[in-house]
Amino acid sequence: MWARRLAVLTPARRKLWRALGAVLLVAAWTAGSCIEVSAQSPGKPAEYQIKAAFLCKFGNYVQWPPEVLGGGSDPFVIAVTGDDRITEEVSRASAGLLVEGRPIVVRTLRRGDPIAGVHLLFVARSDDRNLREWLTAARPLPVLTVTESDQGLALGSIINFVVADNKVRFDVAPPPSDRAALKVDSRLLGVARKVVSPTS
Amino acid sequence: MRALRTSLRHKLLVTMLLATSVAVLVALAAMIGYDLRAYHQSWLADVDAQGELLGRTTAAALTFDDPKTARDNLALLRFQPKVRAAAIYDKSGRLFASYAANAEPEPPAEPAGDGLRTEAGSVLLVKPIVDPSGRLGTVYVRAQYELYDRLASYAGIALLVGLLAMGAALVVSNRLQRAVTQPILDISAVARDVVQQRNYAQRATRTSDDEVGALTDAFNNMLSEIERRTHELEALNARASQLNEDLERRVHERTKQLEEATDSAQKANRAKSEFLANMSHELRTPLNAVIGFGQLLKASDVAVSVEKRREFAEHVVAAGRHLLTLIDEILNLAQIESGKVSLSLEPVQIADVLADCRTMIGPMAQSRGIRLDFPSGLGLAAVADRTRLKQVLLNLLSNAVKYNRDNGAVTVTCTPHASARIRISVQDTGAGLQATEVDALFQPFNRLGRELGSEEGTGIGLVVTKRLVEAMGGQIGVQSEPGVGSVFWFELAASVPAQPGLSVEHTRPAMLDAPHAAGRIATVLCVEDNPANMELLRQVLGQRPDLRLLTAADGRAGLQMAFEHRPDVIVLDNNMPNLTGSEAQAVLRNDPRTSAIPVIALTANAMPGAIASGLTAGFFRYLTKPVDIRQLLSAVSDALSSRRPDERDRTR
Repeated sequence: MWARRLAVLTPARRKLWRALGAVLLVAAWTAGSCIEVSAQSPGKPAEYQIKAAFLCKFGNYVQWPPEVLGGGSDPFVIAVTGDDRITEEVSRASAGLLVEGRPIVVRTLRRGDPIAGVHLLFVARSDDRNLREWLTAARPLPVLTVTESDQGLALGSIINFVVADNKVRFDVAPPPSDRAALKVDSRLLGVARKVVSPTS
Repeated sequence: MRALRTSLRHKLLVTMLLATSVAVLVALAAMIGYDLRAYHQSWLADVDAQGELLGRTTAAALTFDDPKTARDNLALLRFQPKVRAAAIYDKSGRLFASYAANAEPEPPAEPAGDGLRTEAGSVLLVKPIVDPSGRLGTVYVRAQYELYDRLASYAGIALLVGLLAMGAALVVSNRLQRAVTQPILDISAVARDVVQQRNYAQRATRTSDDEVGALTDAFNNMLSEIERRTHELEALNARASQLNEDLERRVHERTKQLEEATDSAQKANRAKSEFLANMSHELRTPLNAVIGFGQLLKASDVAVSVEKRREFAEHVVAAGRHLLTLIDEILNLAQIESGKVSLSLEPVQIADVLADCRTMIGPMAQSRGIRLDFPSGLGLAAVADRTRLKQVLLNLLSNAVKYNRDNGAVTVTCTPHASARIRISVQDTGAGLQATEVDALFQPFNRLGRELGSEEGTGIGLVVTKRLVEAMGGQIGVQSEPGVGSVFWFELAASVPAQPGLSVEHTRPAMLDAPHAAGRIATVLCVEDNPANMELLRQVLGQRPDLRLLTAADGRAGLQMAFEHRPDVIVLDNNMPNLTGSEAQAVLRNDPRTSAIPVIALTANAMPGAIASGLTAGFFRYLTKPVDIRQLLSAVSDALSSRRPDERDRTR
C-alpha cells in the first residue's frame, strides 16, 4: 500500500527505485503490514520520503513575486532546518525535478542563518523549539513556510503537515493577499486536508 | 388533348418536383454532413477538453496522493450527463479515482493506450496527466457519442423538410406552370382544330414575348403558308381540271372531225367508185356507137347506100368526139383536184369572152330553137384567167342549153356586185331543180338527171366549173325553182375597166392549107408502133400528093431510117418499145445530120406539163391523140414551110 503511494509521489523513476529498495529493506525489517507512516514515529524515513516529495512539489502550486523568482535560471532554493537527514532526503527527492522550470537546490539552515534567498523553508519537527523564531524571521519575506507542528499555522506557517488516517496530509493557511507576496494555487487548497483562513 | 395536357403538365410537375427534391436533398445532405462533422469535431474537442480539465483538476490530487479530492472532482461530472464515466489512474496505471453515471459500467481497471476514439456510440478518451516534471497519471473519459442519433433525427427532419418543400413546390409550380403550358396548349388546340376542320384560316393567340410567343408566331406563319399553298393548289387543280375538260372537248371535237373526215372520205370513195362505174358506162356508150357503126361500115355484104354510109360515119365521128370530151374533162378535173392547174390572172373583158361563147354555143342553141339573150355594151372587166373563164361560161351555157326545154331561152346578165365584184348569171327556162338536188349539185361525181337519161353528160362539168371559179378567187351558186328554171351565177373580182372595143384577135382553126408548090415531093417519116394509128397516118398524109411517106414501127428503127433517109419532117409517137419518142428526139437533135429536121410529137400523153416540156425539149409541135386531122396537116405544112429554105440550101 505504501509502495503504491510511493509510486505516486516519487517523480523520478530512478529515485523511485532507489527509494523502493530502501522501503523494501525497511518493510522486510519491520513486521508484517505494520509499516505505517505514523506521526508518533517521526524519525522514520518513509514519512520523510513522502514529505520530501511533497516539499519538492509545493513550489509548483505557489506563485512567488517576479523579483524573487524572476527571469534567468536561478535555482529554486529549499532550506531545511534541523536534521541533515531530512535535507538529504529532500535533496534525493528533488533530483531531476524542476520548479517553475528551475532546478532545485536544497540546503540546511542552522539557527541564526539568514533566510534571504530561500524560497521554501521547511522547519522539521526536530527543530520545533526554534519554530517561532524561524516563522517570525520568515514572515516579512516571500518565503513559503512549511511546518509539521500543531502550532505551525497558528504561528504563521503557510503549510503544515499532518498525519491523518495514516496518510501524510497537510493543512494550508494562505497568507493574506495584502501582506505576503506569495499566492497559493487553489488546486493546492483543493487537496489540503483543511484550509485555515489567514489570521491577521 | 387530355392526354397531352396531362402529359405536359405532368412532365413539368415531375421536373419541378425532381429539381426541388434534388436541391433540397443536396442542401440538406450538405448541411447535415457539415453539422455532423462539426458535431463530431466539436464534441471530440469537448471531450478532449473535458479530459484535459479533469487532468488539470486532479493533477494536484495525484501529486499529493489525494484520491478523495480526485473522486470529488470526478463527481462533479454528474452535471455533465453526456459524460458517462471517468477515471484517473496514477503514474503506474493503477486506478486512482473513478466515476460512473447511473447504471453505467465502471471504468476499466487499467487504462488503454492514449488517444481519442469512438466506439459503439461512445467517445473514449485516454489522456496523460502531466506537470512540469513529467507524467503524473492518466485520465479516462467515456462520453456519449450521438452522431448516429443525430443522423437519424436529421434524416427525419430532412424527410419532413423535403416533403414540405415538395408540397410547396407542387402548389407553386402548379400555379406557375400554367403560364408556360397554357400558350402551348392553346397552340395545340388550334393545331387540332386545323387538322380536324381543315380550316387554315385559324390563328393561335400570342400571349407572351418569350420563346412560346415566337413559337406562336412561327406556327401562325406556317398556317399562313399552308393556307396560301392550299389556295394555290386548289387554283391549280381547278385550272388543271379545266384544262382537262378543254382537252377532252378538243379530243371529242377532233374525234368528231376525224369521223366526219373518215365519213366524207368514205363518201368520196364511194362516189369515186360510182363515178368510175358511171365513166365506164359513159365511155361504153359512145364506144358502142363507134364499134357498132364501124362494123356496119365494114360489112360488105350488107347493102348500104352511100348516104347511109355517110350517116354511119358521122355517128362514129360524133361518138369519138364525145369520148374525147369525156377524157378531156376527166383530165381537167384530175388536174384541178391535184392542184396542178396553172392560172394567169389578168383583167379580162367580159364582153369579149361572152362573144366567143355565143359563137360557140349559138349553133347548138339554134338547133333546139333556144333563144340566147346576151347583154350588150358591157364595159366590165374581171380578174380572171381568160381561157378558164371561157371554160366556165361555156360549161354553164352548154348546161343551160342542154337542160332547157325546146324553144326556151337562156339569159345572161353581168352586173357589178358588192365590194368590187362582178356577178355573171346564166338563167335558163328548164325544169328547174328540187332543193335537195341543188344541195348535191356541186358535189363531185354527181350527175343530175342521169336517171332521166335524156341528156348526155359527164357529171363532172359543174364540179370542174366550181373548182375553177374558186381557183380564180370567186364564188359560184344556184337558185332554182322547179318548173320555172334555174339561175347559175358566179362572182369574180372586178378589175379596172379596160378600154372597150379592144377585142382580142381569135385564131380561127387552121383550115387545110393549100398544097405546096408542085414539083417537089417532101419526105415525111412516121414512127408509130400501133398499126391502126400508123394506118390512120398513112391515110391522112397519103392524101397529099406532095408527100412521100416513110414508116418505122419503133424508136430504134425510126432513128435508123432518119439517119438513112434524112426526111423533111418526122412525126414521132412517144410511148414505144425500145426507145421512147423523147429519147429518140434527143438523139436526133444532138446529131448534126438530123438536128435541123423538125420533129412533130404525136402522143397520147395530153397532160399540160408534158406538152410544155416537149416544146422546151425542141419538138416542132406537140399534138395529142386523138389527133385532129386538120391540126396534123397544118403542123406538117408549117414544118415543111419552115424547113424548105434550109432544105433547098442543103440539097441544092
